[in-house]
Amino acid sequence: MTIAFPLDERVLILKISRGDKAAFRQLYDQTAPQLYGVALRLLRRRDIAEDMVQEVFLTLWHAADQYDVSRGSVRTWLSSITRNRCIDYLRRQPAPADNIDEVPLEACAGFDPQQATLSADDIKILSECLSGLNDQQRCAVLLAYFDGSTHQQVAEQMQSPLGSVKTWIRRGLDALRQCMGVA
Amino acid sequence: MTEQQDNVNDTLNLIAAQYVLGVLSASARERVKARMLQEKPLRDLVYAWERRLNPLAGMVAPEPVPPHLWQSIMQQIEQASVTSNPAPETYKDFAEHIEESPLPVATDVRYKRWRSWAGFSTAIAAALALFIIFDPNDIVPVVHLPPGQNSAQQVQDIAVLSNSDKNPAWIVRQQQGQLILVNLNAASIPARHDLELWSIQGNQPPRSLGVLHLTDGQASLASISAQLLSTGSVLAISLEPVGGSPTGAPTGAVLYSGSIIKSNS
Repeated sequence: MTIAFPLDERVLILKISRGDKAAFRQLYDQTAPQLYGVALRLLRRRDIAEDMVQEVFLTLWHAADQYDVSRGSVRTWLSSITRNRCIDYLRRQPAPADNIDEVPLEACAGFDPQQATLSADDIKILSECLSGLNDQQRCAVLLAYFDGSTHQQVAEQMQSPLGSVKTWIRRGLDALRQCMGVA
Repeated sequence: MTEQQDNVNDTLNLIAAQYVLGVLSASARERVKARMLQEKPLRDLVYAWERRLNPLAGMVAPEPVPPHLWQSIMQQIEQASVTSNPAPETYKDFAEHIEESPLPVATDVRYKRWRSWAGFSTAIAAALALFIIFDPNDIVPVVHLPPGQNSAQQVQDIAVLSNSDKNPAWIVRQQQGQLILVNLNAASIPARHDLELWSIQGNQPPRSLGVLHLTDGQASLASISAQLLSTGSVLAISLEPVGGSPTGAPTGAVLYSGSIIKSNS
């Protein structure tokens, strides 16, 4: 029986920057399902989520040599690109695209570190720090993150005043920064 | 550090955090992205928040990717390799704005948008350019010319010049050795003065690229050395006496400036 181990993604990035298509395919296989999941969760439409993931990988192919460790791990970097593209798309829409290929969402994003499939060390620290927030702060931050909601949308989801939600998010972010370190 | 400076840093940090979290409105996001192009402190804060928050993406359940997606990606890559689109080295500094940048192969939506934009009149070019500025997804687009035109004459937006208030004021476009500057807000030039464009590379003295003669909000400069338009160079516009600086160096106030994001050079 052959066991396939995920290859170090920084090595793959290096190979991709040299035009190695096999490495590109390997990184795609290792990360695309996760990125597609992120895009689908944010966009709730499979066709648009596919477009976003496609854009991310085309960008990656042409700019792998520009990967910078200041952006975090390769996966964090790819997640950042994916989220930014998806959120920009959402913000350009006149209304939430929420009735096509609906993906079930939790009322308030559950938080189970055991579900984490990547960046295990990072998620442990983040999990610990999130646990330090009060319920309202944690819920507001996670709703915003996972659903790509604006302040106003989080307020509607939590059925709370906009001002309160803004305060919860601001204080929650402050607390995370203190907990996780300034760097 | 003063209390005032602390407040500024706190505000900048909050902006970065909210940008990464994703709670900002469309217009606020575009303002942040425009500022990130020119403000390294803000960029660094955004990256720090990406490192803090984006491991959360690992908690989203992976989804099986449709098989056709990989084929589609490879198809686009193959197509790109046989066109005159820029090679990867054109994408220096891409890491800083990689998620904001256009793809070397335009998606259908962008292609159609740009194909139609290319036919628009000069009168609305400034308004469109403003849109480009506030939609850095489309900054530095490669314009796909209509059939019949030489693909070697591709136009590329290479820089956005802002005023001292950080408001975008000019788009700088490159077409082979020619530069086209599009004014975004109809700035008036004081009497008995001209605007002059400069290239600044590292600690080198500014090199003049020429005096701007505006027609319909645009100015063109021909025969610009590619060396003066390398990625990372700074472009600046100063206010000079009629005909340009008499000394060969800027003599008046620098009104607008910005870095070259990508260059055809």
